[in-house]
Amino acid sequence: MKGKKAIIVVEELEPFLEDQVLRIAAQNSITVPVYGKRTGHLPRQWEFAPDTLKGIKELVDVQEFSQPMPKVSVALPNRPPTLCAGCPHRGMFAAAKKAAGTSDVIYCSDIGCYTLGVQPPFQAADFIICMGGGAGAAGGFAQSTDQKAIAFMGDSTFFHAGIPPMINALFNNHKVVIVVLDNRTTAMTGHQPNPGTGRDFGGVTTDAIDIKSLVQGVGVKFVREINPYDVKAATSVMKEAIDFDGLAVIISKCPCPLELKKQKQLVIRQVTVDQDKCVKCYNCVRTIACPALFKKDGVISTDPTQCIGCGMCANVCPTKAIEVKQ
Amino acid sequence: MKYSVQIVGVGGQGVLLASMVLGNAAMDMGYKVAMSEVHGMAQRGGSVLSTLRFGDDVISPLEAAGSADLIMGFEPAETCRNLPLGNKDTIVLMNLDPVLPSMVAAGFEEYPDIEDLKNAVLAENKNLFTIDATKIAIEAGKAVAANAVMIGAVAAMKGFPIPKDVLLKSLIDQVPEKFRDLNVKAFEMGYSALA
Repeated sequence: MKGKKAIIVVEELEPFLEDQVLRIAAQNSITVPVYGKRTGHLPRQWEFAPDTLKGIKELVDVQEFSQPMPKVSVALPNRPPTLCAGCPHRGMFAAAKKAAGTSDVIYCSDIGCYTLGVQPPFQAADFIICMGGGAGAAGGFAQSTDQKAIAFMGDSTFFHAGIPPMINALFNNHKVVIVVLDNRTTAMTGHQPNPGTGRDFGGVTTDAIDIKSLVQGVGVKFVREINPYDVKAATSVMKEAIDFDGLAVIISKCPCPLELKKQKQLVIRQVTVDQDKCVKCYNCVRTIACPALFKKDGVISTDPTQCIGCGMCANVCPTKAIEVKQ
Repeated sequence: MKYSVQIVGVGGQGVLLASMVLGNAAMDMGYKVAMSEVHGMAQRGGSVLSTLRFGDDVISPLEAAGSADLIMGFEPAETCRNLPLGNKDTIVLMNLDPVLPSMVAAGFEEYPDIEDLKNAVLAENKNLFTIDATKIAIEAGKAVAANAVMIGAVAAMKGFPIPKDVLLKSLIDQVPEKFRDLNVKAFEMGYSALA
């Protein structure tokens, strides 16, 4: 560092190296200017691309960059990630929304595929913290507000960080609903096994841990397993859970279709919409909003390339216009 | 020589396979290659962006905004969304067949008129090439081969530094044997559409 005119530190994220350079300079009484994030030349956020270096062009020669084209003036549709076609989480979210109705509830979420429940039509994530954080915060909300807190977490999250907040809610008699969206895998990150699936890799074989027995084992009085594809049945169980005077745990049990597909176990059924029976209430798209459902010129149809025939939309259809071929 | 391609589209369209094909072809040419992709939500219907840079000396796997030589747009709305990755001289190759976002499919949002999207690009850039890649792929045998159509179309782009035969060989190396004929056919049809 001695004898240099200046030192520029270019690093992503926190100014870790930069701070060390500053410390070494200070400890060795070297007076050299150090440029980087601390001097505001480079940003602390985002990935660094070549044009990030525009920030230091007053210090060193930086190549000239072409003028980017402006954003187009046409309004573009958003393309947020969405729960897959036939994702069982859709059924559980639809059931929770229907059961809660207009009552004042707080949807507590965290990190997993179920985070995507934040999207319309569910909007079932009022806040998102770390894994297990949703259920932990639910206890706090139960203590300090008169709103019912409903916490969603996946099976993997349950084993990772969901059991302590559940026990905490039980210990403190927090009147919350914890919904474990048990899709038998760790879906969002690419279908890794978890304690709920058991292990069979690296020469180690272990049994799956049963969520229901575990929850009952710690003494939770209200424990129900539901099939989220049966949205109506799930809705009535959810109503009971919301009305329950204590901790209620619902296990929404249905394997992830992507995982089944990988295992070559996915049975695809054909779905047809009988246009004579369809009364155009759009309950299917409004409550399930499955990507395999299409509404074009007011007519509902299914996309056979995406539809797996889970029957969630048929379950919420009031006129049985949607038929699943067995 | 240094060349940057920004490949944009939607999960499931084969954007990543296309970047592998182009990247491997560039390596076959003896170029240095850097690649990076944003595909975290690809399997959940989200946007996908893959950056490919190759040439005599390439260091950064990311490219500056506005510096793409070629934008390979697998989907019209995604092409428009990512227009600021290029400049007025960038070659824009746009598939005109849309993939509807879930909120559009469910009837909550509207998809813009394809002509409007085309004109929006033309307002900023005169090097626009359009192709019905998905329709051509269906004609070739299967919609999933749209990425091979797009790679064939790139082979026909003036000034693209990798020759057609090198791209085709790389494509053949990347796809499973049983889909080889389909991909070759789709590639050739994409090439003829723009040659």
